[in-house]
Amino acid sequence: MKLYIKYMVSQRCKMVVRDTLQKLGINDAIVDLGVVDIQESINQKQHDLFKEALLASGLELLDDNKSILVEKIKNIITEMIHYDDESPKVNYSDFISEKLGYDYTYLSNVFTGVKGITIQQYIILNKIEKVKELILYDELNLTEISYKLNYSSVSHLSNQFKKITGLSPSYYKQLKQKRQGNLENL
Amino acid sequence: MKLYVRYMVSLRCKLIVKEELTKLKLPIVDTELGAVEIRDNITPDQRELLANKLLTFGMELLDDTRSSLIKKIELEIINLINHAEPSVQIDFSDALTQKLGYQPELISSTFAEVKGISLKQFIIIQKIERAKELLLYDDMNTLDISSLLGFHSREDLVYQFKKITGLTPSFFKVLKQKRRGVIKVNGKNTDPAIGEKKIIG
Repeated sequence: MKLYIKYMVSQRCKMVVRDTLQKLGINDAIVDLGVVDIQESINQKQHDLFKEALLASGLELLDDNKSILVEKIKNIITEMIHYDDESPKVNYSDFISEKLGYDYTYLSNVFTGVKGITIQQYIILNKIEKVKELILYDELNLTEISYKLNYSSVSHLSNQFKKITGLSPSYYKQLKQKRQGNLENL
Repeated sequence: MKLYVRYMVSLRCKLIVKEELTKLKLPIVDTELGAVEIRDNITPDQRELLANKLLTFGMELLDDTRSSLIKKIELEIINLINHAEPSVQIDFSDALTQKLGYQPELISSTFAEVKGISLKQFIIIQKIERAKELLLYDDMNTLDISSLLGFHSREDLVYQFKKITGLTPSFFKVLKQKRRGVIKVNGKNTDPAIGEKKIIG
């Protein structure tokens, strides 16, 4: 089960949450910024103890409604970028708020309080991940990729890629060749 | 234990690694690009199975020596940043070369091939992480933080901060106040809407 935690926005918060879980005897958990994925299900008592311990460190366990909302925002973005062949031509913000039926400002507040980054930034990160994939796995060139993911130009894409990874897209092309080298040596 | 995988540099690679580990019944604690942390230790047999399987996807499970190189690079950078002192400029490349005894070029190219981001970018991200902490836990202002962490100026810090998180440092100051509010009422705040209005998107 996934639990969302507000204000858990730095590495130190992550450590705090990990420690708290361990004290409660919960070891099978994947801890990420803003979210904990617990493999086993926890009982109400553990849930309450966890909530209280978090509050003492200034972190807030989100109620179910808001957790679901954050999860939904993430799913829409993932779907939009990773699975849809045609990404929507309208604004991402309009698209998301239309799908969920909430005002974008509200959605953005909930999301940012939990994840510590903006929805916009989350979308950019996902798009760059997708670009990486398309370079590595599909035979698309950068022009095709930039068109597919709604970038205004190849240079816009390259700039954003460089901003996020510190590397150029062509570096990834080299990686692809090296990986193929790996496959041929099998 | 942490396993490092070369060319595990996209979301799809992450999914593949996850899947293979699940098949081997090895519970995962955490995944990031270039690395996966598993709860238990891996046996030599399992390691060989995994390495062969990953190779068929073009990924390379790193042996202990090279895994520990990446780990040391990461730890050393985080260490340098956490122990930064005011008005002492950190020379990362120099410090890493001295500590690890490899050429800077080899260090940065190995790093980028495993992690999928450049060493320089990793350093910036870690600095921003540290800046978040200093904003949230210590009462430091952005000017002091920028000089402590070796940014050119306060504006440079704000710019990089925005580039990495999409947010301004002042947003984290607001968060800090809200967290204090949470601690103060310590569990008695049952209305999640309290304190909601002040957030800036």
